[in-house]
This record gives sequence, structure tokens and C-alpha cells, in this order.
Amino acid sequence: MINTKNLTKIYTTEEVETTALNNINLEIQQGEYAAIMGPSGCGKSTLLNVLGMIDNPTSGEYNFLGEEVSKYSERQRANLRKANIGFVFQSFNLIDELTVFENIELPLLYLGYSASQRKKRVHEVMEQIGIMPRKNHFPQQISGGEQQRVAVARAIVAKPKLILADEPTGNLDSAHGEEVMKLIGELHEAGTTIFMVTHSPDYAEYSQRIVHLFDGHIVSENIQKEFKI
Amino acid sequence: MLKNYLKIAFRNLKRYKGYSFINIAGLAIGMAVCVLIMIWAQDELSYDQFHEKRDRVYRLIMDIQAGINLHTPLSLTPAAKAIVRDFPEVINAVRISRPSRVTMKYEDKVFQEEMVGYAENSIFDIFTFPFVSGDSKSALETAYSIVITESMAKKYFGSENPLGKILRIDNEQDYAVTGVVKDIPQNSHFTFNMLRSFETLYKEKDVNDDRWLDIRFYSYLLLDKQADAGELEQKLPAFVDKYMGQLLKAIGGSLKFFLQPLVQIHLYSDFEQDISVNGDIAYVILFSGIALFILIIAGINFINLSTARSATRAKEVGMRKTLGAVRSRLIGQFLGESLIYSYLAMILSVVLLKLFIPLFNGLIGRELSANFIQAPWLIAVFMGLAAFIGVFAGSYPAFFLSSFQAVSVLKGRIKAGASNSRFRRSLVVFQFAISVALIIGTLTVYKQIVFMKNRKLGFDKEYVIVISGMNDSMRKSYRSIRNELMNLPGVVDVGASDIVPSRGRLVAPFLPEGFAENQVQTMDYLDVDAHYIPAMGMEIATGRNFSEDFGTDPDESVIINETAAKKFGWDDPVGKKFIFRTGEGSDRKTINMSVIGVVKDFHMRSLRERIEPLIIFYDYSSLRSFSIRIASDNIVHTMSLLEKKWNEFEPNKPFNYLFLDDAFDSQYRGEEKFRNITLYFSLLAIFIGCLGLFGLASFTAEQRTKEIGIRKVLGATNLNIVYLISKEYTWLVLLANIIAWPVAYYAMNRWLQNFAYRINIGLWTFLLAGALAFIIALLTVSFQAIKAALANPVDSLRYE
Ligand SMILES: Nc1ncnc2c1ncn2[C@@H]1O[C@H](COP(=O)(O)OP(=O)(O)OP(=O)(O)O)[C@@H](O)[C@H]1O
Ligand SMILES: [Mg+2]
Repeated sequence: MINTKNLTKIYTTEEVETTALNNINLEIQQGEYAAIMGPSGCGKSTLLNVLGMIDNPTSGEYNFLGEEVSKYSERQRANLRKANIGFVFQSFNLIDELTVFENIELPLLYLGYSASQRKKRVHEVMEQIGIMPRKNHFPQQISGGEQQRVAVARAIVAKPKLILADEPTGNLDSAHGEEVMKLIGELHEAGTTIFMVTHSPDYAEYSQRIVHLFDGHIVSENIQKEFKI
Repeated sequence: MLKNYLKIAFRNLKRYKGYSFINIAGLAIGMAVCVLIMIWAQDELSYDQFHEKRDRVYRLIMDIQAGINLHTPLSLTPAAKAIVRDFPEVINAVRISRPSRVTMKYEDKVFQEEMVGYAENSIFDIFTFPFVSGDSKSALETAYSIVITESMAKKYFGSENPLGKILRIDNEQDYAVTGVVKDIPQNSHFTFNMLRSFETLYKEKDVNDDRWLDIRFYSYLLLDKQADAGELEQKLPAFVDKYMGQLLKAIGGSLKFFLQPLVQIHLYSDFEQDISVNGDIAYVILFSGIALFILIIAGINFINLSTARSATRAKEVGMRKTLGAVRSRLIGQFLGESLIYSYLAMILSVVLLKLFIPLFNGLIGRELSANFIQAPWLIAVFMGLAAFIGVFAGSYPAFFLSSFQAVSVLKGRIKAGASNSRFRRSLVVFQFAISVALIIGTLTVYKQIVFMKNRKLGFDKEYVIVISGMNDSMRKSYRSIRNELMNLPGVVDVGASDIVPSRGRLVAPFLPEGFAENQVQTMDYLDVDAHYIPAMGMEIATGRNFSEDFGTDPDESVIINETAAKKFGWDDPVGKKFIFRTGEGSDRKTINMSVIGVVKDFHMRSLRERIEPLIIFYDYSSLRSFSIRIASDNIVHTMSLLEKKWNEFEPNKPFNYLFLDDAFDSQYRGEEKFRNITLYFSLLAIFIGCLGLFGLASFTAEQRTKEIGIRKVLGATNLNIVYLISKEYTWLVLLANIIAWPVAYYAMNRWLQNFAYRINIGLWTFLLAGALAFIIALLTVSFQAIKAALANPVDSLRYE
């Protein structure tokens, strides 16, 4: 599903050049559950952004679902993105002006679902992750953990093939963290490909494979379990 | 502390260059327009104020009713003199002719001189026209004397002493220069370059104080210090009765005199035959209103952008409050900031004003100036305006911003914009409503002008050259002159008349068949030769045209227009008679002239005026102007042939001509001026409105950067984003249209009432204006929206 060759991302600011990704060669199969670990600032979020096509690599090749996308225009990338990828951001990125329901609904809106379809699906997801009672609240009115769950719900509502999650449990206590991990596990069971950033070795255990990133390089990969299809 | 505030103010200015620019530029334009209109209005209001006795001078104007109504600033020629004689409270009076163009010759210098009139010497007692040389007490007392202005003296006599010099006018009469006056100020309701003595007219037997029904001169009365104009006006009907009673009874008419105060002539006159083109108080009010609105629009930008930025400032307010600032102090700080803005804007507006003034002068044909040394009041106006705007526009943001509670700011509860967005929106609606109304106004005026220029006039105004100044000898040999002209290549047809369309109007009472002696009908009349009607492309509806073959036509036949036939109820007008009485006492005779044809209605006057009943005579002795229809190609060549020919007939007068279409269309110059001014006003209003909208939109886009990023990650297309940002403002513009339409409809409908022949405003004008405003607003807003949409989503997300 994902195949990168010498993927490099260099940030150029006025004073310094930061090589956030340095010749990343990575392959992720359809249906795989992979975790990335590494110290802060090693380039995890950057890798996720590039793989999620919301940022451009500086050089290298990136093959997504058999298409070479590194040179794609924003419009082409947007189309691929909305059909296939769900995001959970490190900082939630919920829209303050929209209610919980409306936030979760957004991806469906852009995919052109009808209002009744949207309502049904959003309710399903909210039920699934247990934020139904918060339906009409605004993000400022709910707790950090709840916001995180809303962000997850939004990522999965359109049933994407790939979920990119940047520390989806970063703001949760262990009980809620477990819940979210279970949810992701279920999605994986159902065939969704997962690529997740985490600082917690415990949560990394949920995955089949851990990619260790250091200073923009992949330093090691360990396959955890046998590949399940 | 003050230093701290100033520092913050200037840092904000630098940091938010875009907003600051929009604020300052908008305000500067608003102020410049406002002061410009003030200068103009002040000029309009200053007309005739330079006359020392202005408060005691009145113009004698009158209403005549005899068949049609005539409301005219002209008076009966003997009236002014008789009023001075009969009413002790009237100290003096003057009769002035409308200045016209003559050929002026001094030694070898020959010029066509504009603005040469006749006046009685009392003009120098009643009005204040200071003499440079000569005696103001007697300059125009004797016949064939002439008073000229300083620049005329320079033009003809250079440094020589002008007094006693002889000027020859129209190659016929010699006049001795008896006085030189200072040039007439621009803000005088009438102007002249030279004035001949009124005595000359008596000498030439042109004026007779016994002939009451003579309406040619403007009469002004000087009242005694104690006199009351209202009381005098009350006594005038008896005066009319005394001198004109019998005459009026005989023709079944009525006449009423009014006194028009001198200082009101310029702005409160609406006469067709005025001594010069006047202003209009309605325009003074209208343009002042619009200028004020433009200023308000700019002020709104100021308020809007300051409050929109409140989120950015909220933290500062919160911190200051936490650190112990009291509210009044904060209000002071923000007011101070807005004053800094408005004074910066003022400096810019002075520059803009200097740029605008020449443009505006070109537009209105005046020479206004913004000279701070000559008019120190302007400095006060600018300072006052800046202070007023600074406080007025600054107070809302000041009170609003300073009301933030420290805790809510720090807890992030103040959502930028949300709390006052309704207020901001209504201001945007208001701004655009003004712009839309102005666009509708401009479009309507434009359409009416096009309509007037393109309307079929009942004759063909294209390719007609009018040469005036036919003299007696030319009248006598008219037929042979016409033949010679007809033989020139390029000349299609030649006719002659006394007046030509758009140039003057002749009105007199007539007695048509079937009306009693005291039911005379006032009609327009026209004297022509037999070729005029076909040469002009006028059409005969029934009957026939005058013919050179019928020797009796000049004495017995007339032609009327369709309106006349309709008015007199003549279904079959050919053969109907007009009755004329001539002579006095035993010589009194009755002559009948019969209608031989009806000409289809045509417009002699502008389309402001209704077509009136018209009677046309076949009369060589009254001809004054040739109307020559030429071929549309080779015009330059034809003109040179005509000039050569003309110089053979009349070597002493320069060849002077006008194109009839130009002359006719020039009647709409006032409307064109009005159109141009509204056009520029609308452009400015829209521009300032858009500046504000642009600022608000960029503010929104900036505020929503994160949201835009998230939406894009979730699959929103660029179009979705543009729509998201734009829709809010486009709704506002639509709402503005709904408000502007009825207002504009009402106003423009009233304006159109000035025209007897007018357009229907039509829905498309409104739709077009709406669409224009909508597109402009959309472009303005979407510029920001597109910028936001095109950004890489991750860049937007990183913002915060
Ligand atoms: N827009 C940017 N401009 C310049 N440098 C950047 C930019 N974004 C990230 N970086 C740098 O690139 C490197 C990788 O950043 P990235 O956000 O991917 O780290 P991360 O591994 O996700 O860290 P964390 O665990 O703290 O979230 C960092 O050194 C960071 O400072
Ligand atoms: Mg990160």
C-alpha cells in the first residue's frame, strides 16, 4: 500500500536547514498495523504528514496504492486523501466553531454523503466510541480525552483504508487510552491499515511491527507478530 | 505611560501593515472627498456674495399664462423702469441682456468675442463690479459706449490706455471704451467680457418703453434699506393691472411678478432661459450627502477592522487589566490610537485632495483650489474632521475592547469576532447598500443620456452644419446664395430658419380658428424658407410643405405640428385658419393665414421639455441661420469649400459654424457632468467599501487558517474553501441590494421627472448594479479565500 524510496524532507528556515526525514525507505502492506517510535523531534509527525499527503517531500519517491504521488498537485492529492486516509492529529485539530457531531460529519460531507446517510454513520461511530452524550457540545466544552475520541471518530467515520494516527492516546488516562487502542485494534481486525505514532511501548505492543526513527533515519524495525491477512 | 501607548500604537501600525494601510487609505480618501465637496459646496453657496448690496437686490421674474405657462427669469422690458417710478422703496433698477457672441474688431485685430451684452449704467450702482479706470457713474450713460473687463483691455490694447479707444462690433457699429472693470469673479451668477450701453438700443429703435409685451431682458431691482421684499411683491399685481390689465384681458392671459433674492439666483433657479447656467441646491445637498456617506463608509472600515482585530488585542487588554489598568485608561489608550490613525489619514488626505482637485475641476468645469493660505478655514476643517473621526470611529472599538474581562480573555472565552460579528455585518451591509444605490444612480443617468442622444428627434441631426449671422443683404439675395451653396460638391441640401433646434425658443400668442378673442393660445413659432423642412429631414404628415412656386405662401400659409393639431382638436387641420390683427385704431386689419400642412412632431428643445404646439411661417425677412446638410464623406473638404464661399458673401465676418448634432447633444452636458460625478463617487465608495471588505475577509481567512487546514485534510476541495469564506460576505452584499433597490428606485424616479421624455428604469439596471457589486465583493473576498485554499494544508495546521 505504501512504498517509499529515499524519501527526504528538509525544512529550510532563515537560519538553519533541518533534515526531518533522511532517505526513508519504508513499505507498508495493506492491512498492516505498524507503530513508529522515536524521541521527540526525530521526524515522526513529519513522516505521517508526508505519508498522508498533506505535506510534500523534498525528494524521493512515494508510491501510494500503486500511484506515484510525490509530484502530484494539491488537488490530486486531496482527492486521494479524502477517499483513503483518516487522520488523528497529535493536537486533535477539531474545528472550534462546529459541534462534536458536525466535526465528525465533515469528511462525509466532502465525500458527498446525503444528510440521512451522514447522520446514521456519525451516530454509529459516536456510539462505538462512547461520546453520544456530547453530540451537541463544542470542542471547548469537553475534556481533552473526549476531544481525542472525537478526533478518532472523525478519522474513522469515512471508513478509510489507511489511518494515520499521531499519538492518539497522548492526552488520555490509561483506561481511556486502552479503549482507544482497542478501537484501533478492532479497525485493524476489520482490515484497515494502521500507521501510528506513539511514545508508549505498551501501546506499541498492539501493533504488528515497530519502526524506530532517530534523527530522520529508520534505525530498526521489528516484526512483532505473524502477518495476519 | 503616554510613550508606552505611542510605542504600542506605532508597533501595531507596523505589525499590521495591511490593516493599517486599509484604515488609513480608506479614511484619507473619505476625508479628501469630504473636504473636496465642502470646497465645492462652499463655492456654490458663495455665489453673488461679493456684491455689497446683495441683501437688497432682487431679480424681477414672472409667470405668464396664456395658452401655455411660461415661467421665466426675463421681464417685460418697460417694467423695471416703471417700478422705480411707482414705488419709492425701489431705489434703482437695471436691465441686462443675455451676453452673446459678436465679432469684435480693433484696428487689425478681429476676434469672435463671447459674453458681450447690454446693460444700463445702474448696473454699477446695484452690483459691485469695481472700476479700474473710467467713471462708474456715467460709463454706460451714452449710446455707443462700452465697458470692458481688465483682461479684455489687455487683449485688445496691451499696455495702452483703453479709455476712448474704438471697438467695432459685427462690422456695423463703433463703440467707445468708457470704462474698464476688474474681471468678473467666478462665483457670479452672470458674467460678461464687455457691456454695451442700453442707451444704444434706444438709439437703434430696438427698445421702446411703451411696448410692454417685450420679453428679452433680465431686470434687477435695488430696494431701500427699510423696504420689505414680501410687501413689495404683494403690491405688484396692482402694478400689472395698471399697465397691462387691458392687454391681458384682451388676450385672456394672466401675468404675475415675483422677486427673486440675488443670492438665491444661482442655486434656486430652474429656468430654461436663464442668463447663464445655474447650479442647483438639490445637487449641493445630494453631493454633500454622498460625500458624507463616503466618509461614513471609511469610518465603518475603521470600526470594523479595529473590532475584528479585538482578539489580537484582547490578550493585551487582559494583561493590562490584571496588572492594574482601569477601564478609563484603556479607553484613553484606544482612543489615542485611533486619533493617531486619523491624523495620519489626514496628512495623506491633504495630498489626495491636491490630486483630486484638478480632476474634479475638469469634471465640473470650475477652478476650485485648496489653498491653505488663501483659505485657512480648510486647516480647521481638516483638523476638526480628523479629530471627529478619530473620536467617533475610535470610540466603539475603545469601549468594546476595554470591556473585556481579564479572566475571560485569559481563559480564551473571547472568541475573536463572534461577539460583535452581527454589528460588523450590518455595517458591511450598509456600506454596500450605499455603493449599490450609487451604481444604480450612475447607470440610470447613463441610460437616460444615451436615450436622449439616440432618440429619433423628428429630424436628422447628423451632418447638418449651421451657419448663423445672415445679414440683410444676404436675406435679400437668399435664393441665389442658396443656389451657389447647393452647387458645391458635398452639399446635399440647404435650408434656412431664424432659430435652430436647441438654440433658443420663440414664443408668442396666436389666435387659432374656433377660439374666442380672449382665448389666445401661446405657441412656439419658427420662421423658415421652403427648403428647411425637407433639408432637415422633417416629415410632412398631411398637406404640403411651403413652395417657392406658390407666391402667396409667405403671406397666407402656415404649417403646424401634430401637437398643435391635437391641442386645438383639429382632426383635419389643413385649411384651418389663424387670425392676426395688425395696426392700431382705424388701421386695424384682420389677416387670416391658413394651415397648408402638418409637420410630424420634432424636438426643437432638449428632451427635458415636452414638444409644444408649434406654428411655422414662411418668412424670408426673419431668416438668420443656414442649415446645410452635407454628405457624410469628405467633410473636411466640404467645410473648406463652404468657408471659401462664405468669405465671398461676407468677407468681414469669420466663418463660424456649428454641427447641429453637437449643438443638440451639448444640451445634456449638465446631465453628463452629473453622471461623471456620480460615477466617480460610486467608484470611490465601492473602492473604500472593498478595502474594508478585503480587510475583513483577510482577517477571517487568517482566523480560520487552522479550520481551513483541517477541512482540507478531511477532503475539502479548494472550491469548498473559497465558498466557505466567500458565502458569508456574498449574503451580506445580496442583503445590501435589497435595501438599496427601493431607495435608488425612488430617488432616480424623482430625478427622471426632470425629463418630459424619459426611460423606464427597468429591472436590468438593478440586476446589473447588484451583479456588479456582487462580483466586486466576491473578487475581493475570494482573493483572500483562494490564498487560504491554495496553501499547503500542513502550513495552515502549523499556524497557531
Ligand atoms: N515547519 C517546520 N519548519 C522547520 N522545522 C520543522 C518544521 N516542522 C518540524 N520541524 C523540525 O523537524 C523535526 C521533526 O519534527 P516532527 O514534528 O516531525 O517531530 P516529532 O518526531 O513528531 O516530535 P514530537 O514527538 O515532539 O511530536 C524537528 O526537529 C522539528 O523542529
Ligand atoms: Mg509529533
